[in-house]
Amino acid sequence: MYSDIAFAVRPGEHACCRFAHIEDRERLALAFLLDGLRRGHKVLYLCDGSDVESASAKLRASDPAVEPALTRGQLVVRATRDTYVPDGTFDVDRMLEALRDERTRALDEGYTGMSLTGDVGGGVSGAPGAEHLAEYERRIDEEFEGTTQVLLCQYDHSQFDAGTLSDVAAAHRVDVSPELATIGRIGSIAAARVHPSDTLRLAGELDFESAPDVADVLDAHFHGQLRLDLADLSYIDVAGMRALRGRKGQGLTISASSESVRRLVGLLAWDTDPTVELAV
Amino acid sequence: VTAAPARHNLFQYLDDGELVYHIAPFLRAGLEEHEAVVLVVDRRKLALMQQVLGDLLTQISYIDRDAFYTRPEAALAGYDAQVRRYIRDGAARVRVFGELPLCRTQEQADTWIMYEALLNPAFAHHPVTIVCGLDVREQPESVLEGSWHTHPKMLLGGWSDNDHYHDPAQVVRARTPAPAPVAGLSAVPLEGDLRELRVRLFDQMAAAQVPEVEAYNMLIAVGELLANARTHAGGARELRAGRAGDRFVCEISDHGGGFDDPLAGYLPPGAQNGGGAGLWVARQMTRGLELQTSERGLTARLWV
Repeated sequence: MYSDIAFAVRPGEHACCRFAHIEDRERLALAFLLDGLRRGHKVLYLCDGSDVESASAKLRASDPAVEPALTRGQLVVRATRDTYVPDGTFDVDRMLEALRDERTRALDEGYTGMSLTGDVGGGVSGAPGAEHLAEYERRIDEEFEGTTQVLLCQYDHSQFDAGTLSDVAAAHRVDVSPELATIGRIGSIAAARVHPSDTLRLAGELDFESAPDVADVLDAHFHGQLRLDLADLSYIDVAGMRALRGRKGQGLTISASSESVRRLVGLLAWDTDPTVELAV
Repeated sequence: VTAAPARHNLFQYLDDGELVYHIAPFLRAGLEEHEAVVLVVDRRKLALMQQVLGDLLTQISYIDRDAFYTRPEAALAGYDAQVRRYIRDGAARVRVFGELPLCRTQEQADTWIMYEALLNPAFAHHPVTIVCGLDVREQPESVLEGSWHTHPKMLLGGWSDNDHYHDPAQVVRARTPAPAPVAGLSAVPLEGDLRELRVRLFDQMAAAQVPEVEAYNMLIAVGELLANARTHAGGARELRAGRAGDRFVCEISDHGGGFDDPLAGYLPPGAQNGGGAGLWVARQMTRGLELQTSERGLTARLWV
């Protein structure tokens, strides 16, 4: 029942992470990786640049589960460039074909699925064909159905123009947008925006230590009726519940709840609070 | 019934005839006023009411008192939730006739008299009319006497002010057993973040074979006490945990000045002005919460 990590992306989803701070990206990538390993997925980690060795070393140092996973081949680290732009150009069809092959191989090797994360950074942004990234992301969304993969595309803010980033983000149903990055710096909690319903999904454990960061983000970036998916919150306390309403006491729609959330909703009388809408 | 009953009233009676004579009209009047009407008695008394009320009984919500009353904390939360839902769904008022579970020991009597005392502040914000039936044939003398202290009005010809009514906090204080030290607890390190602490405590409970549900509830309760210590008392000084017979105990001590409120954590959030929800949750999640103030600070002892 106790998860070590918080990761707000579910199997079958195609998520985008636009990041401004390297530490936030690394935390998310590690959460992704551990989540994939725990699910029995084959985990492909595509790092920016060509220094696969130092990227692997960094991962090894961040969690003890990494080393054995690398050894048994469940975790594979590669350079983004070699997968996305093997001949220097970005080709949508070739890239989709490569993803399909990777998934097939993972299943053939006996894994329950494939978790792939790519740091779409400097190696790709300037390559010919990179203008088709948004199209590629849209087609992933259309073609990769089922729950046997998790795809997390990481976009470095500094490497892409705003137009590309917003097109790319729009092509992902799940978006770990930059304003959510502070959620999870403390504690074991993660957040993502889910489209098209524009729901904020929280996963992990929301306690009185992590609550202030969540309240800050909600206050700064979410206005009006807030729609929340809390099905993946394995732990929440009173301070965590209060943080969900920000410091303004925002109206909420809770579209899904974990057992832990449901109990506190009842005990705090949110089930009869007219400013809280609970999906049945 | 001549004058109007208040929010929380006592009706002592000697036989079935008296019960039906007074209570059937009380329930019927609630239906006529379009109130939500609830009956909390045992099966035999339900049948008695059925004979008199007939089909009207289908408009009354029945709760089997022998199944419903497990602990006062659960009963308070259950009634609070039910009343809130009736009001949300349009009822202007909720009318209840209920009887306490049979108290066979002094401990049970103390527990349920405490509950009756708590009902007054816990429901002060709800539009309710509660009549508590007391069948003098079945309850011991201590329950009869205690009931006089916990109901502001009682039926004596008409509904009269009860001169024996006591301040609920005083009743709860008098009937709360004095906390006794628990031997054999060991310190749980407080270092690291909250999640690490929860993992540590959860592992210790797993090793002590605490069932997962109880262990999880304990984590929530401990978390609320730690949050209170952090907010009001500069943080926790010590966390101690261990088995005590067939229970598992956690003790959280802080540096603060402590406080003395016998009602702490018993009242639903709606009955309080903002604060106190953490202790309410902690009481709901556990079998017991004892609070003890000493010169060193506050010690909270949780049982699952």
